[in-house]
Amino acid sequence: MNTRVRSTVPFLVNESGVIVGYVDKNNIERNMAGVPLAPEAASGGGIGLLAQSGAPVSVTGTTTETVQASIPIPAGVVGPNGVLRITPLWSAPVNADSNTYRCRVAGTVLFATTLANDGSFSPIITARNTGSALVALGGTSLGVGGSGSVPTSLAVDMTAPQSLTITAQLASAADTVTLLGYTVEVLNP
Amino acid sequence: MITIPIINVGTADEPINAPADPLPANAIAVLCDGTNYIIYQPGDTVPAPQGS
Repeated sequence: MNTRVRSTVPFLVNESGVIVGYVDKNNIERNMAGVPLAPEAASGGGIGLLAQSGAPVSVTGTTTETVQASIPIPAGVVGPNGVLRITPLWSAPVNADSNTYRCRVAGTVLFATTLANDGSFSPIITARNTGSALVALGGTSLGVGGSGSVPTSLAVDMTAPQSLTITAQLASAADTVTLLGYTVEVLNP
Repeated sequence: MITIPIINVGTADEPINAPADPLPANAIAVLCDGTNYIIYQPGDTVPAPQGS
């Protein structure tokens, strides 16, 4: 077989000239197995894009908490004193039904809030890595500003691979809540 | 258009619906109807946006 394929996919090459990954259509750097690589900013400080999507994910027909996005967090991407910043955008019916929006890291709730008459909802959620835990604004909140609860501290080891999930839980199965998109960034000193 | 069944990744007391397989990277829209994740891919007709 003598098939040749000319690709316009940009490949990532290490200092030895070996192809170690590629850049996908969403500008996410991945290794040859398709796993997102640590943003360049993670090693040198700055802001790196970990994941982003504009493909809408809708939930209806159930009142069980439902995953709308699952984002792998490679080991060490969020370094000590680093920050994970998540910006989802949801659309929901404007009615009295109270829907619950959550972000979980390693299955543990990092952020949760319940809103009625929300229409659209786009919190900015930040979690700070102390080296041994992820610390975020406490209690039910909008992700920024004040809260009546002390900060939430999650015992999540960010030196190991973890996952971030974005979920919605309907109050009424007849409703529909749509995650219109999200951005996940890493900020390291 | 493809469908991926739901599995429970939570507990019996606190269930969490999740797709049994990862959502394809080329999905242009997804609808979870409480039983399956319906994945719309390039070339599929995407349903009108809902939730408002």
